[in-house]
Amino acid sequence: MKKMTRAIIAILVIALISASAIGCAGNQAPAPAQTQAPAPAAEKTAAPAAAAEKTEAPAPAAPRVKIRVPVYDRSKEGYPAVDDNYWTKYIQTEFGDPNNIDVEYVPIPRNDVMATYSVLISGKQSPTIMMEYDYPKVAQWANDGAMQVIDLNAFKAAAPTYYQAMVDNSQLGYTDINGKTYFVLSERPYYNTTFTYASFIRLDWIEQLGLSMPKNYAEYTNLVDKIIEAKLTDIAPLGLGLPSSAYAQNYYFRNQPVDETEWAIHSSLGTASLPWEATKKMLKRLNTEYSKGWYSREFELDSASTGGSDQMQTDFINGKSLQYGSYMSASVNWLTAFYENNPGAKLAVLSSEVSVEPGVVDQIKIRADNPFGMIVGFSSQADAAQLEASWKLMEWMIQEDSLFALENGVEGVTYVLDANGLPVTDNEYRGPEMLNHNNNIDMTCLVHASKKVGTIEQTIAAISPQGLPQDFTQELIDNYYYLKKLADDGRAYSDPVFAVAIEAESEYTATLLSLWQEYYVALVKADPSQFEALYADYSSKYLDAGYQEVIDERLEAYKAGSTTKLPK
Amino acid sequence: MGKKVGSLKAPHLSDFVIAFVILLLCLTCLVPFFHLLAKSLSSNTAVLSKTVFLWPKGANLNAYITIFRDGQLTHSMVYSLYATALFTAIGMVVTVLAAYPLSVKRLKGRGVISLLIMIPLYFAAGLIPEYLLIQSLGLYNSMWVLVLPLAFSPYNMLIMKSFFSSTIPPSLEEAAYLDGANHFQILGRIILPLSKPILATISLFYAVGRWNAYADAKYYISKKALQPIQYLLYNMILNATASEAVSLSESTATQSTPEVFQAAAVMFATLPILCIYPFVQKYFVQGVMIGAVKG
Amino acid sequence: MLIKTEGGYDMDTAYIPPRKRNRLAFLKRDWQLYLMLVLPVAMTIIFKYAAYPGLRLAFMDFKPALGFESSKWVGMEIFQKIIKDRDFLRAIKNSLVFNFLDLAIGLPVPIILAILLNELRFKKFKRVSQTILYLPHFLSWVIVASIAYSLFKPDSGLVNVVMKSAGWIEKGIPFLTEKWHWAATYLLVGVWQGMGWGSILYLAAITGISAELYEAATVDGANRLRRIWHVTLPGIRPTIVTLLIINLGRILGSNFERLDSFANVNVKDFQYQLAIYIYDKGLASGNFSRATAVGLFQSLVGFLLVITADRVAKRLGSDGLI
Repeated sequence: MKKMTRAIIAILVIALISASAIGCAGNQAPAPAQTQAPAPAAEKTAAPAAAAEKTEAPAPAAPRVKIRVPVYDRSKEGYPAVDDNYWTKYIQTEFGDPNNIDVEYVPIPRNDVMATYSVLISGKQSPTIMMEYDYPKVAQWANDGAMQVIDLNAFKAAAPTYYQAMVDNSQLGYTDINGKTYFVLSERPYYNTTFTYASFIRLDWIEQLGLSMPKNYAEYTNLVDKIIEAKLTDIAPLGLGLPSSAYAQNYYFRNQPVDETEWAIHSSLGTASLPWEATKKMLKRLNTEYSKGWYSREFELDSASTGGSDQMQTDFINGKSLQYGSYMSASVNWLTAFYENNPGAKLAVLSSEVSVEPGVVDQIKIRADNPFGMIVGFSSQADAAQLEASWKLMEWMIQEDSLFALENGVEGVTYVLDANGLPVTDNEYRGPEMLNHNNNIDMTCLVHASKKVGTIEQTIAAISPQGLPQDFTQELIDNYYYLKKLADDGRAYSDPVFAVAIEAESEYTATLLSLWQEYYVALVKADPSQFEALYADYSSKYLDAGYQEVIDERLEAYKAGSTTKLPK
Repeated sequence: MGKKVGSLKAPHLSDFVIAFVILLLCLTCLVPFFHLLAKSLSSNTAVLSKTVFLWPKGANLNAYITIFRDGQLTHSMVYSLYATALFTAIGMVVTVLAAYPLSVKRLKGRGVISLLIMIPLYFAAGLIPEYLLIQSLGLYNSMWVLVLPLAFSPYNMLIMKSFFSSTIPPSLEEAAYLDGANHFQILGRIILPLSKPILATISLFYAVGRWNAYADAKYYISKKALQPIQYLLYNMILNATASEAVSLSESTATQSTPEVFQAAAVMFATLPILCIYPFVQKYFVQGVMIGAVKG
Repeated sequence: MLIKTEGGYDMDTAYIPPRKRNRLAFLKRDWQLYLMLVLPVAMTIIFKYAAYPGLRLAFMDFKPALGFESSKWVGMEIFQKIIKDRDFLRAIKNSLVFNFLDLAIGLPVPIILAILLNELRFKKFKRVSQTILYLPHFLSWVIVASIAYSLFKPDSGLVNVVMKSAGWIEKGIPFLTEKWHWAATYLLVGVWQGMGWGSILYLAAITGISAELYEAATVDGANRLRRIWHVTLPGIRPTIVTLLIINLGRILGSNFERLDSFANVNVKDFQYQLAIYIYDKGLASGNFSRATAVGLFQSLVGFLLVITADRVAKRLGSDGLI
């Protein structure tokens, strides 16, 4: 009996001690909270002062500065922890220590960027550098006061190489929001061609039917219909995905030249432009195709979000569908699997040209990516010294030597030089020096959006799928030049970038996406005779659900001159 | 259990019917696991072409070898086991300390205290306030954030309290009190030994609850080394389904973890916690009360 | 708190003046019980109540960069906006219906399962089957849903393929693509996932039933069904009542992960519940004020239900929660 009492008291005491121990442990653990203590003060100092303070700061005797840099956490099996690995240590020893700077990497879960930043900002733990690929997101941060105004001249002085790169890439028009300068931008090599994406078609089927590669929509239609007729597959020959972001693939269907006002209010990755004529034409064509049996009757269930992995990809791998497309890299597992399952099959890269149909798509127009990669801004919680230190980091990273090491690793360990003196990375290497996701892109995205290797031909060779019975390098190069020609002819459109935050957009994006998916499926599956009526009905519902507010706000911004313009 | 009653007679037809129903239910529960197991042992090509259902194709152990070689999952596994054990121990102590006094009917202020403890079961302050609290308590980016904030579950406390007050006769406690035992002695000598099944069950609830939870780790722990295994899994699987949407703004190949590894990782993270149940089951022996009442 | 130790205090010898005795006698007797409660109450206050001031988010236009100090107060504006929102009403309706059904099916099934398991006479099988039945509890909803889709798709789902080739049906059954079918599938999969885990608690409660009661019933000639009805069920009644009351408080809450994994465009009518609403219109767009406001509403409704249910249970002679 006494034993039991003693035992209970002992447990109690242990529990209490451990509870108080946490207090102590806690004091050491969140070191950032303390080092960032002066941060709130920086809010008042604001940006213009930053430049002035900079010159005062005596470099050698200055205390050690700590900066926090965001890095995407993709939780991929087989890769080292993103915030603590050979390369974070490398940056610390090569850049941090000589400059008296501590560089801490803050993992940001790739699928939950905004909420993660929100809690970090609320807790005064914001990373010094804040960056995203999507303009509306950074615009929201700037608008809400999470980012500080910067002085581009001061930036130019601190990071001349980086600044020059921005000038060379004509990015200076994107640095401002609400009339103040917030951002610097990283480079997106070859941004106006989407050459990393390729669509593959079953060349062996085409040959089997005695046809040739389709050159326009009439030939393409003929091909697909023949395939269905000849029963080359027991399922629908084409895959159709449910749009998982609000992006509407209506570029082909836009008028040429496109009306600038329409473009400014409708062309967006964030909200689908259901009521726009171009989108209607696109849906109309899909509707006709669906009614001819081109697509699975349950296509809305075939995307990756339902059923674990993409059913369209599965059908293609199993040799049951005509075509499939995706982004390219040196190892594309679905292509490998395709050839394993279909020995003797032949593929070809399909050109966008097959969509040309007089009266509907007279000319191919494509989406150009933004002329920038990451949009980089700086936390309003960062002080002048931290701002300066992060600029130094960017300047250091954009130097050829640093970038080369970060993207290729250690010679003889993670890469070897080929006959042309170009690095060939060993993707199988698993030692401590291994590169993280996509050649450390989540670190180097601070300076550019993709790795460049020599010329465009060499760059493409580096992302051309390896180890397959067929080699597509030349076809991918040809595809690049085809796309480049379109861009040179002024047929590659970037989406407009707004220099003010469109508040209705953040309010309604999720609602509109959900409606867009619903209507998209209904319209594609509709009886062709009812398409027009349904379309009119859904368009007006869509406008009522918030799209009208979004486009009104965009129109206002456009009229006020706060958007980018179409190239003349 | 039930053997005192059952062993008197030979099995009846109804026994077989019950067994058959249970068997069917078990089969439905096993299917997903065999499916995942088969996937984790198959070749990547076979999994991508969705031809693996219950039997592996192109059988190999590569996925598991990668998991062990890579080390990140094995590290999280050990770490999660440690945090879970600590969490369960603290949770049980606190829960017993709350459930016993609140089950004593004559205790003054019992209703108010119960209510005070129960309110958080229904009212959550939300992401940002909770985050700020964790930060000001100094728990941000520390293992203790996985242990302390959730260690006392009002839900588990209510269940334990209801068990104490319904299965332990007040007379027993009263008698002990008159014998001169204090409350700690009554709890240790009488209540706890009589409550083994519920103690085992609630421990299981705590352990499994901690093991399966990842939402707190998502925002309260940014250091990869301090994240529990379920959070790694969650991220791995979610990133795989979300990769489409993400790759649009990045315009590069963002290949996710192959399904083979995902399946292997799920198997790897589930097996250890499954082993707890047989230990819990040991305490499910019917008729513990007889001895107590008679003795 | 009120605890004061009085050295070598002893019930028999300590002299307590009569008046004081009446008022504070309970302290003398029960101070140890209060001492025990210190730790749980402290933990509740430190880890839960300390965050409640943050609920004022619901009355502010909260911006993370401005924090609580500088964000604007907007009073009831957010609530007014929500109440007018048709999506909110639709979400409430769906949440109520589905949670009620979840409770109506989800509560009895684990009880029945626990009773069946208890009646099972093959000991080894009984042990193994219990472990197997709670396996699904360890699968995340994403995985459960992906398996459900591969089984139940109308054209290519395994179940439909098998039934079609056996000639039982001509067209695939839209288990997941037609809202009424979806509702049934969604609920049943939910029950399936939770039944084994839910039954553990009842098994533990059944363990607490005195074997003498069973013996007495057998001696009285009660058959199996009557034993279950007259001994087992009354034995686990307190557990059932407790769980029922606790879960009533969650009548508006639902599991976002479960709903999201089972989502598809054909079933939005039913799938759109409060958890989705909070995510779509609150968290996903960084609108924490709205998320908090909806959460607060949800909690209030749940809490009122619990208190009412508790009163009713006490009227009916059960212990209740509080």
